[in-house]
Amino acid sequence: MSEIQTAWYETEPKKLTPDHPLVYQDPVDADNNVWWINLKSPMADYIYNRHGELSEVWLVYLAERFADGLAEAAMTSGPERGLESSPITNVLYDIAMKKKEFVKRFIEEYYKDGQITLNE
Amino acid sequence: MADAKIISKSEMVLLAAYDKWPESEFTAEELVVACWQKYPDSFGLQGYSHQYPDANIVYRHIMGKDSIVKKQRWLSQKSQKRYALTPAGINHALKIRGVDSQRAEIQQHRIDRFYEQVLLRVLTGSAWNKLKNNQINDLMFTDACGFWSINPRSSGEQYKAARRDLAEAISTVKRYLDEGNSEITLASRVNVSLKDLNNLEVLEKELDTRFKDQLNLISRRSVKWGKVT
Repeated sequence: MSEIQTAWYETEPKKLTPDHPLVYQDPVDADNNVWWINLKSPMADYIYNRHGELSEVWLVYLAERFADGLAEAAMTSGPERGLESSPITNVLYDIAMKKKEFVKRFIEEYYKDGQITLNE
Repeated sequence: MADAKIISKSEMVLLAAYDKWPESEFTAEELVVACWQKYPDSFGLQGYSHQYPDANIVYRHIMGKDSIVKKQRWLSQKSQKRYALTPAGINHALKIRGVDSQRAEIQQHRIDRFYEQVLLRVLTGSAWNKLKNNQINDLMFTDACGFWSINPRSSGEQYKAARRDLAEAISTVKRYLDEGNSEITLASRVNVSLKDLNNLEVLEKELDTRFKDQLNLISRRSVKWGKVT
C-alpha cells in the first residue's frame, strides 16, 4: 500500500496522489513485480479511514485491486506480447483513467449528501 | 515475375506480403510459403528450390535489427511471429508497382489516418490537458505512459517505436501545415495548428527530462521471445 509501506529497493514509503490510478507501478516496481494500491485514491482513503484495515469492505477493495493488477500484467506481459502492444496499452490506460475519474465522482457524490446519483 | 528483375529481396518479401495480406495479419510461416510461391528461385531451398522453401532466407528479412520490421518498418510485429503491413510498407509496395495517382492518393489518406490516430491520442491525453491548463507541475509518469502509449512494463524496443511514431506523426502534419494550411482537423473534432505541434514537442521534452530515470530503465530492457528482460 502506498503512503505506508516501503519497497525493499526504496528507502521511504511510496508517495502517490489522488490523481494516480487506483493501482500503480513505476518501471522499477515492474522489474520487482510490485504493485501499489493507491491509498490516496478517494475511494481507498474513504474505506480505509472510515472502516479500517480489518474491515470486510477493505478486504474486498484490496482483492479487487489485486485482480486489476493481475489482469493488466496478463494483458501486457505474457508470451504473446510483441513489439506492437500499444493498442492494449492504450485501452488499459484509458480504463485506468476512467476508473480513477469514476471513483472520484462516486465518492464526491456520496460525500455531498450520502447518496449516489451519477448522471452521464 | 517482372518484380524479381528489378527489386531487392527485402522488397520481394514486402510484395509477397502485400499481394496476399494487404489488410490482414499473417504468420511468419505463411510469409515463408508466400515468398517461395511467388519467387521460388530466390526463396527456395538450395538444390530443391522448386520443391521446398528455405525459411531462413525469409526470416533473415523479418527478424533482427536490419529486418524490414526494424529498419524500413514495412511490417509491424503484432505478436510473436505474427505480422502485418504498415502504412509505410503499403506505400512502398505501391511505389514499386508504380500505381496510378488515384490509388496513391487513397494510400496517402491511409497514412494520414495512422498518424492522425497517434496525434489524436496525444492531444486528448492527460499530459496535454495538464499542459493546456498550466498544471505542468502535476505531470505524473502515468501521463507520460499515455503520451507515448507505453506502460511501466514496456521494453526498450516498444518505447523507441512509440517515440518514432510520434516524431513521424508530428513531422508529417508539420509538412502538411508548411504547405500553406493554417490548421488540420483530426477525426473531424480536434484542430491542430503549428503552435500546437511546437507545444507538443516542448511537452515531450518536459516529460523526457522529468521521467528520465523511469525512461532509462525502460530503454535498457529488451524483448526476447516475447518476454521483457
